[in-house]
Amino acid sequence: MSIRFILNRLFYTFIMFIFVVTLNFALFRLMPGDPLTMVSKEVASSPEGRATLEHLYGLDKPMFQQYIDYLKSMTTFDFGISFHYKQPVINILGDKIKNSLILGIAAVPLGIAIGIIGGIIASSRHGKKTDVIITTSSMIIYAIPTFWFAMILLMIFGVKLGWVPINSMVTPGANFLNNMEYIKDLLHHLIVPVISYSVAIFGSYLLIMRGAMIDVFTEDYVLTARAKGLKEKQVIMRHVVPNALLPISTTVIYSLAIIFTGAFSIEVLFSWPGMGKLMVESVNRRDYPIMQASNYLIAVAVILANFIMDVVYGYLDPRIRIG
Amino acid sequence: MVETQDVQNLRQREKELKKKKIYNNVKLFFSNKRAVFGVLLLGLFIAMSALGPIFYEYDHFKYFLGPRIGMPTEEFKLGFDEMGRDVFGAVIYGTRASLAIGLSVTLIVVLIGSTLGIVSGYFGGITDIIIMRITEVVSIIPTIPLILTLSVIIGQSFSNIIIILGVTSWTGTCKLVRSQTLSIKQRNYVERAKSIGASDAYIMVKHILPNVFPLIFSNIILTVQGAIMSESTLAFLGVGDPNIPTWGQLLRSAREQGAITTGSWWLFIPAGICLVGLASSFVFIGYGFDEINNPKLRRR
Amino acid sequence: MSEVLLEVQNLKTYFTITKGKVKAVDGVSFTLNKGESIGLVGESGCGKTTTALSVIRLLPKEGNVEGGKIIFEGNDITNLEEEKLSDFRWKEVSMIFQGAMNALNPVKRVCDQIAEPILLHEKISKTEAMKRVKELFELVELDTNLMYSYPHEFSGGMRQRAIIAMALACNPKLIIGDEPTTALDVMVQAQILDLINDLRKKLNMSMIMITHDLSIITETCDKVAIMYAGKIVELGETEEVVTNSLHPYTKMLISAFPNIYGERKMVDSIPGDPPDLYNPPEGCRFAQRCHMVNSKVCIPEESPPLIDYTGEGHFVACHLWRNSNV
Repeated sequence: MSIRFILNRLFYTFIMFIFVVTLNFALFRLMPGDPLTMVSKEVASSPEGRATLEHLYGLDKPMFQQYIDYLKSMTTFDFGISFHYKQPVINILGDKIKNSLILGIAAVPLGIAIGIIGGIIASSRHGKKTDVIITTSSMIIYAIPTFWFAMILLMIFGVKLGWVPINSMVTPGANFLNNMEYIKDLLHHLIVPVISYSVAIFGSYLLIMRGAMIDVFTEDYVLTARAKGLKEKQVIMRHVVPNALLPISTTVIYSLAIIFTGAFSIEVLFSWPGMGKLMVESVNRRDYPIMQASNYLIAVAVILANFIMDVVYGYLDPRIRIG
Repeated sequence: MVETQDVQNLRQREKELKKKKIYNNVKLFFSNKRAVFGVLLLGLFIAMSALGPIFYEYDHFKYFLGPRIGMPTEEFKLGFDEMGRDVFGAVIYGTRASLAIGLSVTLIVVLIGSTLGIVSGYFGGITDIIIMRITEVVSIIPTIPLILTLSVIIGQSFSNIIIILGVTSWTGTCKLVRSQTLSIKQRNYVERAKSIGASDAYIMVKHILPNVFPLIFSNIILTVQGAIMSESTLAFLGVGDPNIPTWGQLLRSAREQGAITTGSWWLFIPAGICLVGLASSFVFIGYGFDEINNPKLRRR
Repeated sequence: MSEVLLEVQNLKTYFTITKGKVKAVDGVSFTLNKGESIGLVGESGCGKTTTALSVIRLLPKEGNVEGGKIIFEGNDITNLEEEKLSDFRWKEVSMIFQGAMNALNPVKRVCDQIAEPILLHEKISKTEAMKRVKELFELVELDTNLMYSYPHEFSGGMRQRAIIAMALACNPKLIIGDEPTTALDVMVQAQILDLINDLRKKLNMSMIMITHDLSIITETCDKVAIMYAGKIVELGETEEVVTNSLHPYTKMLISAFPNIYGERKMVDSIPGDPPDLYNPPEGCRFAQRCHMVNSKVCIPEESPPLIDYTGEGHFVACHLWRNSNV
């Protein structure tokens, strides 16, 4: 792959970064209400107190200066103090990101893998009973809201059967004697959220992979591969799958990159203390510093992911790599 | 005179061919069992939203018709919610809200997506580059955080939710319309129209749009499904208009009332089933159209 | 005189679709000797490709050989089981596909794709296989430095050479070329045809060449079979068939192609469409488009058998020539 290609993408990535970060800045100037009253009603009600707060948050400076300060603080991960927690935003985010990663890393790759494998199986039996069953059921699953599916699972396995805890990440108030105990408790809490999360993901991957495979199956090089005397399994694994995976690879990278943003409805439903839940709560609490910081982190992550997607795709597809 | 006769015959033949193609596609569509099932299911929900209010009275602001979270009774088949409201009525009326959201969001998506897509594909060059770059940026920003932020800025009324969903979900349609426009642009009739001096706007509206539309039909149908699902997720997360009972709102308040732990199934099972039913009807129909446009997908 | 390699006897290949059966190939017979080449000519949809796919047993899943026999080197391969088929394919019969531009997998290096059948069918190491690939590249006059490239780095002609190299990889006894040059421009077409001709003679291979272009057949094939609507209507030595064509369809085909050496005249197109093979007409399938249908010897409601008109291997299936021979 040429250096020029990478430089080109880097430049474009930089433009995108500026664009998205500026948008983030602008959106938060449009937010309704008086942010200062949210910091402290008493202090903001007196003119002197107000002035102090304005000075503290830099709101007395001209807009352009505010923008520069914003860029400076964002790039140094200095996100200010949360209105609600009265603590540095960065401290709060760190913990929540970790929790979202625990859930996402357990669920997302699983969902993707099931989807891709299911897509391969369905497409290689195109039109047969197996395909009809797999495809129809993934279409229905695709139409099931994640949180509702999770509610049903909770009702059955959490409430009726009592096999799994019904919320949070670890048993509240529990004292763990050692790490093993903690991990066991965590895994126990993970089961239902992971199942619901991966089920939410696999349907769409399955349908995309199936479509991509069916597309490749009609290519001449697949017929050639069969004529060479390759067994059907070899034809599929050596010639069809690599070409079908190509367009999906970018989606996979994207899904992996945004794992840390959390699974919104699942985190809310299970009271999982992750990023998704935090963002929803911050919206309801109008905790702007947290919202702004999470938006910024997400923007940086997706833009980076986009860059990686381009480079990886270029590496995987020789037509781009050398072209 | 003879020539015009020929031209007329040609026109006639073209028309017949088109009719035959439509007929064949309709036949193809209805030979797909899943698609037929989807149509029937959708018909059921449309009937529910149209006839429900005629045969069944429901007022979202009429409280305490029964006990809080009361069990189903003879008269109130699906019991009562936390305000003593009739759940059955709310579920019936929720169909309207969901269909209204699905269709209006899709309208916005199609308007933005196809306008930008056609302009981008037709003009190419710098216009194309700018539009596609913007589309790419919007498409990679995760939807839910963006929607959460926008909902704080413009508010969470029913119509605002529709607008927010509309302006955040057009990118797929735009990319698809652009790629179809690129291929249609090459066709003879567009060249012909250009050579006789038709304006760009005329060509885009009269020649490209009608030919792009059938190709993006399955995308449009799936957009409806996506919008319905997104609204329910947002409502569940607490972003939505509490004055209008959508299925998502019902599911949210069911959870808040602890319906899962208390086993009050009537608060969330019926609404959820309706949501899945309506959404899957669009999925079945959408993929049915997909198989018409993409013959490779057809079962052979 | 020479050994028979392939014998196709009364082959019937039908496609099962929802409304019934499409008789794509309906009673085709021909023999091919070792080192000999035969051309299958006809309009699209006449069953030439289906005949070839039946021989290499690569029919799509709705296609089925429902009658007749395919005998290869004395063995009936009509019902060869899947296991033995993988050994048969490419080692005995290889194929150059239509739309050659897409016959190479875009994400695999050319050398690996050529080495693939060698490694599959022969017990040799990867290095040895690569040495063979190099030899094959030399054979088809490709720069061996390009071995490790990807298909998109090749021009159309180069790709076609690589595909020919791939077809030769396991020294097959028979090569099937399905419109091997249609995707190429005329100059490259001629080069590729020359290459195929040379290699075939050098390696003494048999070949089935499928095309709608008679001029390609005259350059490359010893024998030609003209196909119409799933049946062979005329069969014989290429020169004999082209110069003394008997069947009205063959005559039309020949006049439909301009002859660059001959006099300039208007090219006749063939009026009408070939019949729907789902519901083919009873009797002579060409009758609807035949301008001789009104002659008194013609019996359109009867299917004419393929008979040796000259007694020296010039077969024709037409009522016109059936009686006059007697």
